[in-house]
Amino acid sequence: MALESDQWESLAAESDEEDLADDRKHNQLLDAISALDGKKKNSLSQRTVINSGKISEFQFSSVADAVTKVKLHELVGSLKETTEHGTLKQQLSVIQKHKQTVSTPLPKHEKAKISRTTAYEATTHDLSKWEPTVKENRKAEQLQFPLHKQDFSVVTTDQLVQRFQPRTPLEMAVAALLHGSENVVQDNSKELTLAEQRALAAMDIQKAKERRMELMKHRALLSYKELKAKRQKKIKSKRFHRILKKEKLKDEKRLLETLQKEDPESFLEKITQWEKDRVQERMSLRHRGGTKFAKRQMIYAKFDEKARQEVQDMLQKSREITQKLAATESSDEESDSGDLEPQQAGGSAFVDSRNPWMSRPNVLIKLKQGIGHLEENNAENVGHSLIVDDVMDNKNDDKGMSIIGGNTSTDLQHQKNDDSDDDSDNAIDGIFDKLKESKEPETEVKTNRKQIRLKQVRKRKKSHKSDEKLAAEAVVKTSESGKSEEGMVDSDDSLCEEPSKKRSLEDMDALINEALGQSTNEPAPKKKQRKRHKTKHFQSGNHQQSKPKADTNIDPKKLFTVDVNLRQSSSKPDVVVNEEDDDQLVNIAEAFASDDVIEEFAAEKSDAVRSGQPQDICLALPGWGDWGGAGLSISKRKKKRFTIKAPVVQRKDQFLGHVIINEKKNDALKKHQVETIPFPYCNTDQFEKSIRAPIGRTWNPAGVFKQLVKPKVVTHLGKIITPMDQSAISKHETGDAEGKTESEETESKQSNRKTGKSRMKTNKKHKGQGKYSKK
Amino acid sequence: MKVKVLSRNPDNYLRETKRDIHKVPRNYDPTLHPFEAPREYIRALNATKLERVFAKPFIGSLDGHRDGVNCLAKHPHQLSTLVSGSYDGEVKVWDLTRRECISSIQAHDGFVQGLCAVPDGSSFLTCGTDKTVKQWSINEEGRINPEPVVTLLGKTVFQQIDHSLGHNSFATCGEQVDIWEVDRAEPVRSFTWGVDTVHAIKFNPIETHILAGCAVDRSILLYDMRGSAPLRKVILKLKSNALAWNPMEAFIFTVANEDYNLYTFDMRKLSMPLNIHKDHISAVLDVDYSPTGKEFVSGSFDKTLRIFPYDKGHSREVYHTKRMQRVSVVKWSLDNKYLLSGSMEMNIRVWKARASEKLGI
Repeated sequence: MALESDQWESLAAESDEEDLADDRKHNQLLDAISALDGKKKNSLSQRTVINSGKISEFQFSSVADAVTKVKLHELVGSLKETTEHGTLKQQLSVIQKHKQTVSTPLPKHEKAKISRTTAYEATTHDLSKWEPTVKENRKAEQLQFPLHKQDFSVVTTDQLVQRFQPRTPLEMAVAALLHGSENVVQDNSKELTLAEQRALAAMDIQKAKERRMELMKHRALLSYKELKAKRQKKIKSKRFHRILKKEKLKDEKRLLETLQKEDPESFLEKITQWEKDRVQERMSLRHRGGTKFAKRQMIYAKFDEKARQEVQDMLQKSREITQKLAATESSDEESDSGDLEPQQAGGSAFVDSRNPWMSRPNVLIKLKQGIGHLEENNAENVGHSLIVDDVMDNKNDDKGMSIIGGNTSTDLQHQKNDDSDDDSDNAIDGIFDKLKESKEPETEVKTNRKQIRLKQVRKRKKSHKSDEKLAAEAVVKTSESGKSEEGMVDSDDSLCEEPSKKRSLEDMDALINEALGQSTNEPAPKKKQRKRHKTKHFQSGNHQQSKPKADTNIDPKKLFTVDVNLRQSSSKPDVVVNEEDDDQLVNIAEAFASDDVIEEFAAEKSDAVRSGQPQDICLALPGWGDWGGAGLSISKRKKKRFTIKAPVVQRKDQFLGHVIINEKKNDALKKHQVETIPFPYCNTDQFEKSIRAPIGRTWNPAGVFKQLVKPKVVTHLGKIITPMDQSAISKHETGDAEGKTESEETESKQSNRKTGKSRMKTNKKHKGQGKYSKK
Repeated sequence: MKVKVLSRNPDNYLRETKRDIHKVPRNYDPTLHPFEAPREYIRALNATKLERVFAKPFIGSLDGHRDGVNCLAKHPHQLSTLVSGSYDGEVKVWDLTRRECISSIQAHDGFVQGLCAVPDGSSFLTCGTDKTVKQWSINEEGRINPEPVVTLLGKTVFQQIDHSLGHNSFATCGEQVDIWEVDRAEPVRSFTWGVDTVHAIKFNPIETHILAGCAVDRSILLYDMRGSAPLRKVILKLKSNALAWNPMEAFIFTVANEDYNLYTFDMRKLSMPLNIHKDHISAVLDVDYSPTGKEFVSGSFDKTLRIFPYDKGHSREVYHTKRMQRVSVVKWSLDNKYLLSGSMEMNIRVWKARASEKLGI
C-alpha cells in the first residue's frame, strides 16, 4: 500500500525536490532497519496531497491553509467597479456585517425526537376534544347502549305531504282529482301547467311569449296576495284588525250603494243573505249591540226601515234578559234596582246586605248623573269605595249619605293625588264646575261631603299628631340639640311634601269652601283658620296616606336611637382587615387568651409519647432470696438487677414540634372506614346524602325505588354496540370559532372515513367477485 | 248525634285490572321504620348471596381445533359468527348459536399469528409465521372461500394484524410496524423505533388513525398512521402481552402485563397509569374491552378469565373451569352479553358477561 501511494505521489508531483527525496530514502532505510528484527511493523498508509498554491479544480485544497482560502472580496471585487447589481451589493454588505456561521444540522436521532414530540402533542390536543363527551358519559345516571342519536329535525308539512301515499279508495279519488287535471301545477319546480304548456306550444312564438308573461304575472300576483294574507293573519294587534274590520264594513257599504244603482239582482241577493244573517242572529240569543251582525244592520238600515227597528228590538230583548238576571241577583236586597245599568248592577252585587245605603238608589243615581261624563272605571270606583266604606266604619250609619259624598270626594282626592292621570284631573274639574251649577239636593250632598271631609281631616290630624308625639318623644330622648317638636315636624314635612301638590290641594279646598261658603252649618272662617293652621299637618298626613313607602323610610326612632357601644365594637373588625398580619395575630391571641392551645397541645403530645413508649418490666419478686415477714421491701439493687429495660423508640414526630404522628395502626377503625364513594365525588355532603336514606322498596314509593336502583348501563340482547362515533362530539361543541374549526375537521374526517369505507367496499366486492367467478 | 263514617277512595286500594300489582298502602314515615339500615344490609347480603347462587356463567365450548387457539376475531355485523385461528395454521368459522364449526381452512404453514375482520364484514385477514398476510372472503352464512383473495408476502414474520375501523388500511407488526392497504403489495408506511420486535398492535376504534403496540423491550408504543414517526414510547417493568383500546373513550387503553397486572393508561398522560388492575396470579395474556367501555375481560396464564370494571383496581368476577388451560385469547361480544375465550387446550369457550343474568339459553 505504502509503495503504491508513493508511486502515485511520485507520478502526481511534477517538481521533484531533492530534500524530499532524501527524506524518503531516509525513511526507507529506517524501515528496513526496523524490519530486520523479525517484527513486521504495521506501517500506516499515508496520503499526502501536494499543494502548489494554486486554486485548481483538479486538486484538493486544505482548509487550514490560510493562503489558499478564498475570500469574499476576491470573488466580488469586480462588483466595485460596476454600477450595476445594487441590491446584490447591499445584500453582500449585510452579510459581511453579520458574519454568522450556519448552525450545524441536528443529528438524526435528535430530529426524530423533536418530530415525535410535536406529533404527540398535536395528537393529544386533538384527542382532548373527546374530553367533555367522555366526562358526560362517565357521570351519566344511566347510559343506554347503543347510544341513541336522536333526530331533532322538525318535519315540515311539505315533507309530510311528500311522504303521503294515497291508499284508501277515497284518498285515491281525491288524489286523482287533485293531480289528474292538466290545469293543476303538478310539480313545484315547473311554472306552467300541462294545459298551458300545450296552449303555448300551439301559438306562434311572439304571442306565446306575451301570453306566458301574462300568466307569470298572474301567478306572481296570486302568490303575493297569498303571502300578504298569511302575513296579515299573523298580526296580533287588535287595533289593526279593528281597523281592518271597519274598512271592510265601509267597503260593503259602498258596494251596496253601487249595487243598488247598477246591479239590482246581486243587490237582492245581498239582501236575502242579510235576512239569513238576521235569522241566525236571532237564533244565537246574543242580541248585543257590538256584534258583526248589528254593525252590518246599521248599513242595511239605510235601505230598509225595518232594519233599524229590528236592531232596536234586539237591544231591547237583550236588555230584558240581562235585567232579569240582575233582578234575581239583587232580589234579596228588596230594592228596585231594576232600572240600573248592568255596570251598576255588577257593582251592587258586591255590596253587603247590611249596607243601608244600597237601599237608596236615588242618591246613587243622582251621583251617577253628577259624574255622568266620567268614564265607567270611575263608576266602578264608586262601587269600590262603597265597599271600603262599609268595612271601615259602620258607626256612621245614620249619616250614610254624607259618607257616600265624602267617599266620592276622597276618591276624587286620590285621583287628584295621582299626578300622572291628567285626564281624571280634568274630569274632576268638570265635576266641580257642575257641582257649582247644581241645585239644592246636590248642594246638600256637597255640604255633607264637606262635613265628612273636615271630620276626616280632623281624624287624620289626630292620628298624625299621635305619631308625631311618639316620634318627638324618641327624638327628645336621644337628640342633644334639643329641637322643638314643631321644628322636627316641620323639617319632616319639608322632607316629604311637594310644593305644587300642596298648592293644588289648597286650591281645591278653597274652591270647595267658596262654593259652600254660605250653606255650611259651622262657621267657616274658624274652620278656615284651623285649616290654615294645620294644613301642613294635613298635607303631610295625606301624603303619608298616599305614599306609605316614604313614611316607612323616615322613621326617626330608627334614625336616632343607635347604640354607641355597638357601633364601637362593630367598627373594629373593619379596621383589622386593613392592618397587617401582626395585628391579626395579636387579635387571635387575644381572642383565645383564655384557652392556652399551645400548652394543651404540648401536654397532649407528651401524653402520646409516654403512652407510645414501652415500659420497663420489673421481674423482681418480693421475698425471693430474703427473709419473709411484715414490712417486706425489695432492695434497690435487686430491683435494678431484675428490671428489663425497655428499648427507646424513636418517634417520627420527635423533631416536629407541631404534629403528633400516630404510628400505631388502629384496626378497629378500619371497619368503619368508607370503601366506596359516589363517583364524581366533590364533598362529604354528597357521600352523606348517598347513605342517609334507605333505598329499599319498603321505605320508598315504587317510582322512587325504581329510580334509585336503575342500572347504570343498559344494553339489549342482540344489538351490536359500535364504538363511539365522531358525531358524538358535535353536540358538545359550542359556537365559538375554535369549536367550529374542530367540527369542520371532524366532518372532513368523517367524510374521509366514509369515502374510505365505500372505496374499501367496492374493492372487496370487486375482488371477491373475481375470485368467485374463477371458482 | 253525629256518626263518623270511614270513607275511602277505592282508587287507593283497588287494582285497575286483574294483571295489575296489588296496591299496598305504606307509611313511609322514617320514625315508623327503625332498624332500616340493618334490614337493608341483610337484604343486600341475601341478594348478593343469591346472585352467587345463580351464577352460572359457562354456556358452552366450541370443540374442533387440533391445536391451541391463538387468536379470535368477532364478525363486525353478525353476533353469531366467530373466526378463530390456531397454532397449527388452521382457521375456523363458528356459528355461536348452534355452537358448531361452519367452515375451516388451512390458512398458514405454522401458527396463525394474527386474525382480524375487515370492518365491512365481507372478509378477514390473517397473518402467520410463514411471513404472509392473507385476506379471506367470507359470505353471509360464514363460509370461507378456500382461496385467499389477496396474499401479501413480507420479509419478516408477522406477529399480529389489526384493521383500522375508519380507513381502508391495516397494520401488521413484527420487526417493524407496517401500514398496508389491501390493494398494494408493499406497505404504505413502516415504523421502526429501536431494534425490538413489536408483538401486539391495535387500532384506536374512535380515532382510527392512531394505533398502539407492545414491544418485547417492555415498552408500549404509540403511532399515528398519518405521520412518519412513532409518537411515544412507555417502558414498563415487564413486558406487556396485549393491548385494548376503550371503544367509548378515545384516549384510554389497557395493557395486559407479564407482572400479573393490567394497566390502564390515558394516552395524553403516559407518565402514570390511571389504574392498576390486580388480581391475576400469573402473567396476563390478553385483554378486551366490553363494547360499552365500562368493563374489560382479561385472560391469563393462571387459567382464568377475569372481568374488571375499567375504573376499579380489582376484578368483579373470575371465570375458570377444571379443564381450561392457559387462556391465550379473550373477546367480549359486541352486544355486551357474552365472553369468548380461546385457550391452549384447543377449546373456545362461551361465557356470560354477567354470571347470574337470565338469558334464556
